[in-house]
Amino acid sequence: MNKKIDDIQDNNREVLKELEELNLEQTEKLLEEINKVTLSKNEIKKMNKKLLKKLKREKVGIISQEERTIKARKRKIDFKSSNSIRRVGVLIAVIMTFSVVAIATTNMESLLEYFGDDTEIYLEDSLENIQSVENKDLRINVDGIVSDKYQCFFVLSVEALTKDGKKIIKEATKDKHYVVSDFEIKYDYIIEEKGNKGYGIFEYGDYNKKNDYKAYKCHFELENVDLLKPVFVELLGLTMELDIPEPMQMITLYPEKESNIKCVELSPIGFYYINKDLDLEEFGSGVSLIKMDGELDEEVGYQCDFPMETDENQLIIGEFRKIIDLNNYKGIRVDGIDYTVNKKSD
Amino acid sequence: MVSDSDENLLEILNIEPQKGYVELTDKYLGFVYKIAYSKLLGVCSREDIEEFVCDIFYEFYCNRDKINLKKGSIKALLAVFTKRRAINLFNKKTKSKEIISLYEENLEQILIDNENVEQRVIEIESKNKLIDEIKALGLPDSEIIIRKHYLGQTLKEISIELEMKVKTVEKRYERALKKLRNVIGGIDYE
Repeated sequence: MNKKIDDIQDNNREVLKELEELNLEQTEKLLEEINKVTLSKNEIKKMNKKLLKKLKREKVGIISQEERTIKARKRKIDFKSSNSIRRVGVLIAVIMTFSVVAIATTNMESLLEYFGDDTEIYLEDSLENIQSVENKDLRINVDGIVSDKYQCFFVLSVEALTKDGKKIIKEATKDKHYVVSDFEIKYDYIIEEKGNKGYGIFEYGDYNKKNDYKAYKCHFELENVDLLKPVFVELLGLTMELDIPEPMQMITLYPEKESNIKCVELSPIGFYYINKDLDLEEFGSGVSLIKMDGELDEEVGYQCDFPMETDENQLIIGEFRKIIDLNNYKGIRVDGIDYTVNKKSD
Repeated sequence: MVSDSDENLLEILNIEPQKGYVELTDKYLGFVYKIAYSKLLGVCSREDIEEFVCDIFYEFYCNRDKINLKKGSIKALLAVFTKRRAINLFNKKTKSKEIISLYEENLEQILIDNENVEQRVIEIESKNKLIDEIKALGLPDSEIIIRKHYLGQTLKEISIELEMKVKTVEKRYERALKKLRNVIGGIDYE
């Protein structure tokens, strides 16, 4: 770029600065042939996030004073407490005090199953949307919700309030082919899509043995989903309305040696990449997070959807069995190749 | 200049406000962002400018029921609103002079009354002449000048926008400025 040319502007403001002070009619005429101003992908991404946040924040600004108090108190909680389980307990206790419907203490177990006990930086956002709805027999709760730009996860639990409620839960979970019947997640798309795609429900083993309480991890993909519209979760005849939370931080990781995968995106809930030369035979043969000391983390469970076809633009979406703290990892190994933040010069 | 797309967008804004908001920002983010950035860079942090842009869109969104496309297109309304707000903020930040009250107007006023104090104090004819002369340069030179001096884009950005080499844009820009200097006067860069 010839800086001298760009600097000409500074020497010639006197006449052209008049363009700053045009009325509507003049502006109309000046811009009539300009219909597009392009920003960089990074600028668009950053601004879109802020613009949505602004709208959501202002929407939230209409909420009641009571809800404001809850939010304010939540922020004041000391997340640095050494006892993380107690920390979550306190957090939930505060919210329970103000919630219309209190959340059962048993929910904490299922919450920790997915949200872990050392992810305080995500807890505040994830608990923004907790809520419950009930009828005379059942209560369903969303105990925590998180998202990145590709998918959204939430922990959902159902409690029986009466004997009839127990029967309903037993009936709904007796079919071994389905985790639970009468379950659906509904959301709107920005562009037209045929039917809802990509949502799922995962059952927690130990906590789901009781007939009066079940907890599930649920997820849905966010591609083309209208983030500004509420998501409706339907379970056993009850419907709950959720807002998709702000996406969590993501990092981009690059291969340390030649690879068909240009980069892997990593968030606390999943990993994402496009493999332009996907070998279905070899697919998913190995994914491991690399700890800061170089050791592989074999404790975090991994799971990714098996691609139905080898479309070169097929995005592989992987998920972790529990939320991870990105600060604890330096990269990820996919099919034997390490991906880290260091971009190899071409 | 009312276009079908403006009417559609306004309809969506009123029927499905959030969807309309997304479409509005999608279509005009570049305009608002560049105008704000070029005016406020140096007096505001990048974060403040981004927040400023969000405020512009949000206020526009809140006033969607007052928008009258007979007064001007959405593009022009947003551009004028952003310019005035940015100038106002710039003056507040620099404190180099008294806050100019004529910029102290909100979107609603712009939408309701196009005939404001500003038009009386600024020489309309001079500006109209400047616009005419810029337009007389013809495309793409006129667009280069407008993008550079109204929207605040760099020549590199303009070259990408117009799918031209940077050198070509530089030369055209230089030549266009010379032409303007000859017809308008007052431009002295040599």
